[in-house]
Amino acid sequence: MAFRAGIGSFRTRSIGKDGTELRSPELLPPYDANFDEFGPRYADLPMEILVNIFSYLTPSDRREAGLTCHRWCEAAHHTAFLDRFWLVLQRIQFDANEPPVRMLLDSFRHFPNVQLREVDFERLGNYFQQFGPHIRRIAFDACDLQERALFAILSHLAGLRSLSIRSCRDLFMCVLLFENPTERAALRQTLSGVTELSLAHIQYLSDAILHRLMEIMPSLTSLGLPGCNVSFHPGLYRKFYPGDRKQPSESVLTFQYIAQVIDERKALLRTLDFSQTLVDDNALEVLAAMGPELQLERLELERCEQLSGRGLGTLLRVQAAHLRELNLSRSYRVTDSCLVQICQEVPGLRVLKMRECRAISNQGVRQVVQLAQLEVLDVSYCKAINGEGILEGIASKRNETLRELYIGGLDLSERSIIAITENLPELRVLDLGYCFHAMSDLCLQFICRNMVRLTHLTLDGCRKVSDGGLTGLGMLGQMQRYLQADTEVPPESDPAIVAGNGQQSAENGQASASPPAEERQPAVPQAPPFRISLRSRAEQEIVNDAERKRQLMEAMQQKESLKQQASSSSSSTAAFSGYSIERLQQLHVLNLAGCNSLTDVSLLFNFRLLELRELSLSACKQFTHEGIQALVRGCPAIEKLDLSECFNIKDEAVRQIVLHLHRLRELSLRGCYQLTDYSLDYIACHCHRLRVLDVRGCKQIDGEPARRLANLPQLTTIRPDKANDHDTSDVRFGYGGSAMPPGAPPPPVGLLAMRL
Amino acid sequence: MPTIKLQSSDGEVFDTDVQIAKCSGTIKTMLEDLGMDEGDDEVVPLPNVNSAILRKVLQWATFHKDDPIPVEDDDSKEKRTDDISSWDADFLKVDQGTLFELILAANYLDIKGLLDVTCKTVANMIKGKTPEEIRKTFNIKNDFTPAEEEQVRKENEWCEEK
Repeated sequence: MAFRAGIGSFRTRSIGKDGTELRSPELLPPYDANFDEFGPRYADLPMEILVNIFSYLTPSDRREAGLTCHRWCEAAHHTAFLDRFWLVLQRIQFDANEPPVRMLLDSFRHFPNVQLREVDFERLGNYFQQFGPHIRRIAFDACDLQERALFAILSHLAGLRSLSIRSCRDLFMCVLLFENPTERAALRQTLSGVTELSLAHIQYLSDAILHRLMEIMPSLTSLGLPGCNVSFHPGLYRKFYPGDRKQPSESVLTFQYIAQVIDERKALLRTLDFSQTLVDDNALEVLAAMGPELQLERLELERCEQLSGRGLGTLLRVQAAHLRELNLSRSYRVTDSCLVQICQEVPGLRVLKMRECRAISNQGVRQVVQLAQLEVLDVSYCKAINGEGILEGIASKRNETLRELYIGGLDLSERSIIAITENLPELRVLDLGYCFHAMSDLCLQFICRNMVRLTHLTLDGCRKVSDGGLTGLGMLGQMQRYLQADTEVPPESDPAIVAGNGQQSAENGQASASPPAEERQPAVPQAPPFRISLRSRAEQEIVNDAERKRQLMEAMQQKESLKQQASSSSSSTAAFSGYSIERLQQLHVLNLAGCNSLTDVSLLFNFRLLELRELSLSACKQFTHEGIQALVRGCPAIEKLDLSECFNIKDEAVRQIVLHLHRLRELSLRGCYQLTDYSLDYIACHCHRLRVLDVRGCKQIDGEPARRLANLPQLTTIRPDKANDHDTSDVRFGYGGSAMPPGAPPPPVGLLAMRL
Repeated sequence: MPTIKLQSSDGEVFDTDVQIAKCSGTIKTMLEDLGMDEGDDEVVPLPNVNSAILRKVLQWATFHKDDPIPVEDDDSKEKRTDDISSWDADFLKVDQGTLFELILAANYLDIKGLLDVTCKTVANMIKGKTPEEIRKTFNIKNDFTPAEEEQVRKENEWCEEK
């Protein structure tokens, strides 16, 4: 019950002569402590109500709300949300006397999850003494870490559940790692709660080191060795283990030794990760032989090129009852028969990833519909799959369990995509990247109509998508015709399909207006065949620009006239146009890279997505500052914006961006060659949270932008114009719904990433 | 139809259907604990709710009286704010003061459905705003000292919520 100070005055009942109540006349309105002279005191709502409200916000909105006042700050850091907080220290010196560690020591906030990336450990101080017991997960990624430092850190992490170490070379080059048995015994006590261990891309891992690590972590349920140099060859094993030598070798990491470890712990182990190793069929058969005592729930075998159906089949037969997650992406030799076996024998499977498995075809994919509990399916870039496999497979009937579907790079058909939208309404993540034949405006309209719970939508490279798809302008007729053809309803009952009673006459009037509107939609200028242009390239560009602008103005006028028609007939714009992307209010990540037909009209017409965090409009060359202006007002929460190759962007667009996108962290303006130093000045004045800026190819910008941007406290990476232009490693937008971003490979040597 | 009398803090008495009144966990408990029978002339006092708000709450409860009992949410991450019905949205087109009072009343009276929909409405008003805009919308006084604000800002540099 809420406690309210200052209860309103409690009136006594007075009964009149005939038994009815008399109400004494109102005096002054009762004093209400919940209102001050400015209005209701939202800051003082009870904490559980504040936490309830905040639980409906995205983490980004929660952070902003937490900056308003003390109590809201407390609510935003409430234990209900604590599990999701990560302390991410990147590219710093870990020195207890220097910021940021000194600042962290001064604050009382503790973080249950810590990620340390490219950190040099200078002086640990008592950071881990103070905060260590609260840490549940810790990840070291490419850190300059020495054996003593790791020992010191781990000694304080009594509450640790998950340890992840990735490519910390120096650490494992030292053979003395955890050599002292007394220290190991002490660590074993401390780390008795650790259930997850991941040792990724560690070149110098050996059997001996693994042995010691196993000794200090007795309760592991998850063991991962992705990218390590595991030797599977029995010949190598015999060489380093001559005779009946039992001492684990310090020179090699062998599968035979790992198998021993797994065998010892099979009662506890649930997850194994051999991604990017040379694991082969024999190895899997060894695992299968550990029989029913080993109950695997999750198996990661990404990019295991030696695998084929034989070993996998044997293992799956044994593990079928428990297996929930299987990742076989990029394991090129896995075939349809294997997939069919999975679908038939592993009914409890929730996650199936077979990205780029070239041997998979429709025959296998059709069977996926048998996996009734499937939540995540990734069959992108499996070139032998096409629309039929999807249509007759998972999209063949209604499925409310599937949450993530990755079908990029497949030769789909319009019908199959529309079937997905109709039968998979609960999807959160949909990746249709590079499905450029099938992905049309009509498909996008159906997505906007049916899939309102999407959080990630990837349509990069889908060149056919144009303004009609995003806004719905003039699309209703097309959709009606599709639905009518689909259900074979006679044409006279056309108006009945449209939702919106009592507006039929208006719609009939509008419907006749829409066919001509469709014809007038701006088309990408097609190059006429067999025509040799003798114009210089620059002149051609000017002509193209003028043509584009003319079409744009026409489109805007068309939109205006449609809007006027809408307001005059007092029906909503939805009555005569289709569905706008604004329906997808839960969208967090949207990738429209390469959708070259999009113009400012898309952004000007209802592009309001309050939760949009990442947006890529790379190579959408027709956007100008007019569209950007509307975009930034409609989507204020954007943190990552990619406008590379949008060469019509001028300084005014950058000004609008920095004025309105307060949460912006990463901005790519690569190839926007019309930008000048004014853009840098706007950024320097307003973009306080910017961390990454890409201005390659902006020839008019200062060659050393760092000088002008020195005042931005968090800017760590600028890619200036002089950088190696061969590097096209873009920020990868929104791949997967996993909590941790996939570790990026170490940057190529030629990249001029400037540290500030 | 059995009715019960509910009295607001400023003395107004509302004759309400018992079934509707029982959508409030607080009233339900009071009735059961105090062993009140329907039809008695007994009045249930609600000192924390004034008449205007109680009237609105009863209006909501009357409309939603046939709703299924909401189950306790599990800790799933999927909390959505886009599922407010149009009737509820219209019902909550009120000034900030009334919305605030409705939240407190729903909390005091333990009406989960009303509390959820009002909290979602407030969440929708927070989305996409900067801290300054949020303060203005909700009349929040900035009680951070500049040093504290700086500290929080610095912590946020290194902290991510995933």
